[in-house]
Amino acid sequence: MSTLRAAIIIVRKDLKQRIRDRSAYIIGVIAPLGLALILSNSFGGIGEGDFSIGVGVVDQDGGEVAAEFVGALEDLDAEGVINLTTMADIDEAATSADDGDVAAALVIEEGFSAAVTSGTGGALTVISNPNSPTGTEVVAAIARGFGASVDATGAAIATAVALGASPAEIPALSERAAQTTSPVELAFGEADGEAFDFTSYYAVGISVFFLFFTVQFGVLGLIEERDNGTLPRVLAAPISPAAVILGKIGAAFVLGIVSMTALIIATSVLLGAEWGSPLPVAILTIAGVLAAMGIVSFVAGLVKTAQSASSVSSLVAVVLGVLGGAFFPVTIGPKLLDVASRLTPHRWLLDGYRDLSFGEGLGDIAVNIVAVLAFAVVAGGAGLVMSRRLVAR
Amino acid sequence: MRKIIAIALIDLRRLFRERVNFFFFLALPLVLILVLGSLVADTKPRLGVVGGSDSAQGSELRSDLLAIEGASVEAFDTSADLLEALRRDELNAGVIIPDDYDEQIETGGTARIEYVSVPDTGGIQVQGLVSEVISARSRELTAARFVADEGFASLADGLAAAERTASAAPQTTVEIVGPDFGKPEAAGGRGFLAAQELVLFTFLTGLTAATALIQTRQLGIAHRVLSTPTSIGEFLAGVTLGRFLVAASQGLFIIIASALLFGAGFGNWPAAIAIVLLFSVVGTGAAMVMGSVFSNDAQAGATGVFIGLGFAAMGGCMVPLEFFSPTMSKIAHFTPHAWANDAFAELIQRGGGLGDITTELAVLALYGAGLLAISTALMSRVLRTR
Repeated sequence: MSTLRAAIIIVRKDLKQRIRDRSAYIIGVIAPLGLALILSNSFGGIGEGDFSIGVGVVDQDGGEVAAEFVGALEDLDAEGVINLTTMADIDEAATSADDGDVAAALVIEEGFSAAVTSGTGGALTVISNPNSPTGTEVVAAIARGFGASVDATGAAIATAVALGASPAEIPALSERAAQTTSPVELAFGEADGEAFDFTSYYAVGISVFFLFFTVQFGVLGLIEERDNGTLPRVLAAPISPAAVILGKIGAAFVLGIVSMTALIIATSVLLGAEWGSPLPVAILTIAGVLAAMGIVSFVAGLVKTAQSASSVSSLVAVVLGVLGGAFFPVTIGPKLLDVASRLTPHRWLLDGYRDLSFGEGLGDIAVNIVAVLAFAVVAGGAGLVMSRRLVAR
Repeated sequence: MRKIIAIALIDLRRLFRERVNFFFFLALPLVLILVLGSLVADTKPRLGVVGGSDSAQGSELRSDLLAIEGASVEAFDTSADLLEALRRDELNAGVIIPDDYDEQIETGGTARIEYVSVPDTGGIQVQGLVSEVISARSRELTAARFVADEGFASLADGLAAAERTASAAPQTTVEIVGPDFGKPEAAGGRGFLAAQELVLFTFLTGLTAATALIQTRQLGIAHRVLSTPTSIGEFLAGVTLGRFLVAASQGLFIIIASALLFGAGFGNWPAAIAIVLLFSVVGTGAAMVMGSVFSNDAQAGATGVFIGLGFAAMGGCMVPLEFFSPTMSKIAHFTPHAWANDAFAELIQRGGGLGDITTELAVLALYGAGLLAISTALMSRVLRTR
């Protein structure tokens, strides 16, 4: 039997086996898709303002400016930014912050309106829920923003006085000062849409992460068959060792490509993830599948039994995935981490896919493709040499 | 008990008979320490600033923003560059000073300074810092505009006067206190991030124990052991114990090393260790259930990674629980991860001790015991049908 035909038969048998035991579906498509869905839903909510911060407010002042502040908070509540609860007293506020009912409670201290109007500076207190450090920060920012806008009136009067306004004019001036529009304002998130896309980020990260698990089925099959005793039997037939290795490699390759393709299509259609133009994505994907196969076969060469090969290559896949930035951005962090992450194929793959999703072309990711292929050649070559002893007759 | 220990030791011996396993089981925690360390290390959120360099007012705002101490601030040439860096996650946030900044101020309009951010904790942190700078500028510019409108001075002179007086004028204070009205525990934020990752990986590595159980079944060790006067419960406890020791020592190694190397605080030590130990039991217990359900390690591995990461995401290891809606939070608490995260939050963010997390620890212990009981039931069915 020709080497190629034998290899093709082995590929088909392996694929049939994987389809039958359903593991290929789980790891190749269902698991990564499910995860990307969970993650982009929870993160997406934050980005699209679906989540609102629970805020309590206690008005101990009762004055005009305090009422204005509560009104501003009610506006934010109506916009869905916060979820406002008016509280009777400071004890209720403290209790609900402690119990986690709100992210933070705002206390407008007694004498606030008077202090602000007379220009002596009012006091606001934010009672934090210790489990919501971020929510607390947001509430404090709202309080500071309001404080700054009322202080502006005070500052305007003080400046007018410094420039020679008479004390008798102050009440009239105050009224007009409050009407002065601020020359500057901070506009939030108008470029958000093009700024950062969590769905694409996680679709890419998780697909690449799982790729290094998917190809294990093919590559580790060789060790498994040796342990099962099917390998010596196959080799006893007139089939060359090269055909066996080629068959296993072919099966891993097909599994990797099919699972990546399924994921790319599914995340684009179902989640709206951006992958970029098809041709460069396809080339990078082929390089990625080869690199994943290379890494797994290298690890498999180092260990002796199928069981340790599978648990060790899972560990390696997790370590490289984390380090390569499949879950957390490694670009924000110390230099050492950035450098270490470049020693993983994941980093080059992820960067490449992300470049493509930003609309860059094949030329822009040539370095990434070369780097990913280098992993395939070096690790895969070493793995191939080591796997030859497995099929030695 | 001696039987359990003997079974555990045999499993460990089989695991580490391959020397290379030592390396891999040590390498994983080391990489995690590096990653966790960089999370807790003093990495300031990154802010990008663009615009304002070629106008008088704009460059003042620009230099105010560049001087923000709580963030590491970088200047960009074009807003396209800045957005690009933001998309690549090299920045947490960016501020774009508009081209008509000076013009708007001088002609009585309102200049819109754009703030763009990644919706994560870093982005929200920077938002507070940027707001403060803008508020201060707004206060002075409003005063200047007012005195100019009222005819006291020109805008430029008014601004100079406003800068002198505004710094002296009393300002509204915003004080953040804890629920007990004391100073809030400030150190927590980053340590808690590291704790979330620790929870994720302790469970994930615990799940690899499923392969061990499947292997003992495939090799026929399970049947041979059970033909002696050893109960299924004892047998499972033994296998669990062996892998528990591996997972727990990895977890402890991670918290101790990241504390020593990076000063990562996980709060009260005995309590943190208790969480790691109990959570390792839960992880290995889940592995035993999987090892009983699946008959080949490829399936177990696939499902393990999915469950490990899926539960982690649902349990608040990737997005903090504070961002979950009340309904999602209830769902989250079906996962042991949410309870472990709650326990760490109590230690790190509230400075609690062992006594404050008894509920969480009890829930984790229940999970561990429950999973072990389920796997015992499943295994006895599996073994009886053979």
